[in-house]
Amino acid sequence: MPSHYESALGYFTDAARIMDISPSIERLLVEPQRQMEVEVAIERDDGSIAVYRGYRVQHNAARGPYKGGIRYHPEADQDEVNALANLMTWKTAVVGVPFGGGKGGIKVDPRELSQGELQRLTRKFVDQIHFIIGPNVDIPAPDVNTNSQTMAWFADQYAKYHGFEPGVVTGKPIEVYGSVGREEATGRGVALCSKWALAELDRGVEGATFALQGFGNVGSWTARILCSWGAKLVAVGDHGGYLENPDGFDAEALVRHVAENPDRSVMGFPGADRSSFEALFAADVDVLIPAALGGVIDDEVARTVRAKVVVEGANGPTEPSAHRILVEKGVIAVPDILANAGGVTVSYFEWVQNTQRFLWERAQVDTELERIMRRAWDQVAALARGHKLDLRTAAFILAIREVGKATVLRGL
Amino acid sequence: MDGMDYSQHPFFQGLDPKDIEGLLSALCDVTIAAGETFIHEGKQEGLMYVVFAGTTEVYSTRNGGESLLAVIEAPAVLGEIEALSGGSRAANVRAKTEVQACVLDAKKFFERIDAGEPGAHKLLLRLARVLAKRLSAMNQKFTEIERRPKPPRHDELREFQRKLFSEWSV
Repeated sequence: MPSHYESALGYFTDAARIMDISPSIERLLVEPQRQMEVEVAIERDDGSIAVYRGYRVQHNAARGPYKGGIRYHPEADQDEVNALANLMTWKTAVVGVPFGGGKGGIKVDPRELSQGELQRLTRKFVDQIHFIIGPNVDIPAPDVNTNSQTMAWFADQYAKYHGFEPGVVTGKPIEVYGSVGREEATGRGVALCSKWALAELDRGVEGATFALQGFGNVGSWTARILCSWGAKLVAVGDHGGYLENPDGFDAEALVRHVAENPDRSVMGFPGADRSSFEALFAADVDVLIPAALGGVIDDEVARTVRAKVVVEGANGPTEPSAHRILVEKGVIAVPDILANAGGVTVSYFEWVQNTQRFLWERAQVDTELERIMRRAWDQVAALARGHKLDLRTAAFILAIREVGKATVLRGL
Repeated sequence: MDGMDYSQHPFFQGLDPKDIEGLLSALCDVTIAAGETFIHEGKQEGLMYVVFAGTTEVYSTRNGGESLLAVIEAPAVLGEIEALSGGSRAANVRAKTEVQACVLDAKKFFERIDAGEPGAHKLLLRLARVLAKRLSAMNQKFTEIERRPKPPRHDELREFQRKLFSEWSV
């Protein structure tokens, strides 16, 4: 199985080859501009000292300050953070928000830490990297196992060095300069892309069926929004297992079930039959939405996919060779750098509000999100049509074009 | 083979018969048949060859197949880097024709140096000169490679810009 970095680089390289970019320009665009690895040492509640490794990769800032989340995960490493920073560069470029790409993480299992320890960990990480971030330099955000609380600590610790600067991170709680609509933004973007992909097939979203892997923030909001538009969720799965219901799940009830369930899983939801990973990915549905993990669609899974549309809510769910299989089967595969860019788009709105000290209403956030996502969709679709490309390749070409233009216009 | 006249080889020039006599315990005359490989890539052999007659081929098998690196005619000195550094052989050497050489055993040679043998010290100086010449040749080659014209970067960027603003701007 290719690493995250190999997959991300693979898609980039495919697009760069089609554009006939010279090797030195390709290298200029693909190499991260700065990689930082730091020690994050904290005192545990029992008085012992724990030492973790923290990473921040600043991939490209040709189009604006570096932008990307910070994850706390035992598998986080330089390779993964590098790959995700790389993807952020292309994601911000696809949707045209004025940011570059970055990513960070700490190699830690946050389930082993108390809230107090997590706070000390976050503050220590800020101590180590505060001089390379800032609202006009590099703007972190929540990612896997980090949330709005983490960002509140982050901004508070940063303020101790640099004064009040809420725009240093996005994804903050509404009460401390966060934005309305940020929580559901990624899911809303996935839902919008699903609707537009169905429209390419002359299908409306009402009555369309979809299967969803992952019922965390992205998955649950995607389900709620698509169901509110009349679509039917017939298969769902998460870390606890897989369920199916041909009559359709009540997404709101499923959200309540997960919130009340100690395992935070969809399992045990009444009225549904047990299913499997294989059955979910092979479900006879209109839209398949992987919204959990990377690398879940390999060649074998891709061959079984029956959905007409695959919308990548997760980062990197499809391996490059599996992507080619989907394209050959005529599946409309909406790539992660477009489909899940709603989050970074509303992060941009939060940053705009922070820097202008002016708060938006929810309606403005939703309207602007749809406008920006739609513009990106139209540009990608036009490139795909004009050059007879699949959506992923077109999205990468659009991104390379925008980053490339900024690079040459600014000069080396 | 009768004893070779060492004074005829440039490597031994400047050494008088007494110097050479003091080195004999470290030297051994050999005849190597055509086709025989006598220096082996990756091995530690501790022997240096002073070639008096014949032609040798330097080749490598590191990347799968055999690649010929050089053809060296007598008089020549071979294997001195590994013999002096204690590392491993960088390539293979085989006799292309029959080769007449004397073999210098590095361990015994160092013992003669430690014993203060004047001939051993003079030979060490000769070796230093051989290595200095090779280093100089390598530096020159490196400079030549560095000076080779590279693609003009500015043109490359201009071409990239043209592509972005024309054929890929839908």
